[in-house]
Amino acid sequence: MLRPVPEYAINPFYWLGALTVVAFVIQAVTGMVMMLYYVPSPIEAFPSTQYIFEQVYYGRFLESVHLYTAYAMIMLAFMHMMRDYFVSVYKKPREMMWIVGMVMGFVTLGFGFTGYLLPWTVVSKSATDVGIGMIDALPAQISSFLSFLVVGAGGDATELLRFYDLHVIVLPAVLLVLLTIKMYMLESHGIAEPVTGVVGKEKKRTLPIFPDVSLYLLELAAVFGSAMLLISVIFPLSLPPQYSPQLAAQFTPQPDWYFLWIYQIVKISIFEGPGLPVAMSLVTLLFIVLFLLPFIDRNEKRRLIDRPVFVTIGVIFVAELITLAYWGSVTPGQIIPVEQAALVLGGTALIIALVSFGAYRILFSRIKPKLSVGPKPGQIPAKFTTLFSFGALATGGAFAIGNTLNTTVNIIVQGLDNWKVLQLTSSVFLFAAVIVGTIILIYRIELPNGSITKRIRRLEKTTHETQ
Amino acid sequence: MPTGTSVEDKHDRRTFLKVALTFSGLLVVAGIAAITRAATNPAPSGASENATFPKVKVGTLTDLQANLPLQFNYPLDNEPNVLVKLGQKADGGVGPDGDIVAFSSLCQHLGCVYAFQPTGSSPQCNSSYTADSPVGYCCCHGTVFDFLHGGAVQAGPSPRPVPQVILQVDESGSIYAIGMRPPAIFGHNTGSNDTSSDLQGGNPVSTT
Amino acid sequence: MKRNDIVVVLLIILQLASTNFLWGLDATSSVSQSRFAIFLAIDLLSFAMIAYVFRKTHTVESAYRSWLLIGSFGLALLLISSLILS
Repeated sequence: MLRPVPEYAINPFYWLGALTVVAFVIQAVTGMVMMLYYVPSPIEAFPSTQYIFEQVYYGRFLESVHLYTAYAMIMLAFMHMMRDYFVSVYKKPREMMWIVGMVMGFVTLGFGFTGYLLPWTVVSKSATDVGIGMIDALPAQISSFLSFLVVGAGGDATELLRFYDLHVIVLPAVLLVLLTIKMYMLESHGIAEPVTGVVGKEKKRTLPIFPDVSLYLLELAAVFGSAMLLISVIFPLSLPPQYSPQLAAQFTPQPDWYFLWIYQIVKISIFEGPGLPVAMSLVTLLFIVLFLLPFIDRNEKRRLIDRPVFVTIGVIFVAELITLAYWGSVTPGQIIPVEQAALVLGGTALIIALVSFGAYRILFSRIKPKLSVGPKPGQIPAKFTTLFSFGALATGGAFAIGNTLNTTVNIIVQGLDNWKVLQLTSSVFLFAAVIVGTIILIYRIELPNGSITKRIRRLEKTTHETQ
Repeated sequence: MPTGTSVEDKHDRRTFLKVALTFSGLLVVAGIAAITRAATNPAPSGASENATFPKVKVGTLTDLQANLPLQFNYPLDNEPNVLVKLGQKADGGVGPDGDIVAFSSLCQHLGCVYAFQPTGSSPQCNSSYTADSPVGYCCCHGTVFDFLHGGAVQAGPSPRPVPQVILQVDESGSIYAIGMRPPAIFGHNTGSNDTSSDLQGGNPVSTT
Repeated sequence: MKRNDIVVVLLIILQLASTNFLWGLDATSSVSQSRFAIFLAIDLLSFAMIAYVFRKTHTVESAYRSWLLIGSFGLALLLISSLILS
């Protein structure tokens, strides 16, 4: 029935998806016990949560484990997605698995969103109100459906009840159905081979599902479970105050960490007021592109060194998410001028792209220099490419130097804060990248003459490979 | 794997490990099952025990004129509060116009008694400040509480809003105080949101 | 193999002791809830180590002692921390 698992798959990276399911099981168990005490009405929600916290046996333990495992589930789902992206698991024949997986990722975020409201604290209700405002700003067809689903006819009581029902019945049922579909597909396609391909003898070494592979899963689950338990001991939870409009008025709402990136995008000045639907449409577009990734990247190559463009895009994606999330957490409620946003986001992307392409060129010789022979017919003459590159580097360099000096003066005059440090670091990095870019450009120009390579032996080998 | 191990030895070892593993698994299940104690909490239902505040009459609709405050003690005799008709709708306001509110008179910063300042007036202790809406101005350190928005801090060093009294008006026009909103009144577990602390540390006012 | 057998026996004894503690704890104080979490973690990690030994010896290889050492060290740390918890 279940096919045996090859030995190379006994490796935690192949089991990130399984660990997400383990996290879900922990959520189900802790959640079901808490369901015995929680009451989903606006008046009783906080008191019943407080009751669980203070009076129910192991109540605080259940709440802590439930919260931290929720965070772990979202993090694991994201790591699972990024690992599959970099190892190109979504290529033929597994495109449908990616799409079903993306829907499951969406459901997981939905769990986070719906669960966050349930304690009815100042923090959670304020953040959820903002979130519902953003749902209203989505493109019309999506927003009318989603809005009705989560808010219904309107009013706090209906909203809380619907959030609760989604969280405990609807989303789990959907997740389980999708999981069954994915498991069926996994059985029919088998576990994806390692990127470097598997040599014959190793391929034959398979382990039976029972007992070996099941035991491995139980081992991973046990270690993961104890990690969650220890985290809940080291970082004990306390309940924020109950929601009241008066308290909420003094509070700057911020979403939970996994939505901070959207929060930060929405805070950019051009997306204020009438621009909000544009921001939400961009986010929707991003998700659509992610969904359809297997049909965008049709190249069959799976090795990292064979996919410079997509690997670079992947690294930029992760870096931008982290940058946006961190930035969002240190600037609650502050509008970001669009120039700053362009500088930070563009700067991150530029630096990573430069480093990545530099690495691909120098380490892997994957991007061939166009200056090695004369221009082919139809190709732009080398001098224009050189001119343009030098121009870009000079502008970038001037900008980086100017910005570094500017932020240094700012720090001295106005004092240090997180944003200024971020600015300074990014302009210094940009400067370093410009220097690296200049070296690469000079190196490329040197190819016909070879005077630099004569002095630096190491570069000789690379030139011989490319010429 | 060491050679010279007989087949029976290996078989015994396998059996031992199998038994050990099964036993270990059962212990894990037992450990997790200990959580079921949470499911068998013998205390009754999930409803909280609401602190029982007395219902005390503090005035009538005919007593009140706009922007003239009335002082009363509630729920204990050492907890002064100010009752005022604002003339405009306010959060938590009762009465036919929704503009009758009451707040604790003790500032949440260091417990000074503050005074009500109608719109456009200046306090005696600070003539350079003019209220642009109905507020409570504390002369000790300059905290301004917004009476239109549940006692939120508009300015000054108070770290939290001043607690609002929950009022109720009946058909005959009598105004009753029936509870307190969080935070706790200054001097009664200051800084917590547990309003039951307001009922401790003094003598209750009479409910006539 | 014999060393592994001793380790397995010790782990089972540890599991028995910790599960016993779990059921005897007072369930409302936050200190004992943290203790509960640590003891359950000890229970789970012991199981993981026993399962690891079983799985590795099922195929031709033997269990890598380094993992067992790390695991045992972790368990010792957890036991000590449960005692100094306040």
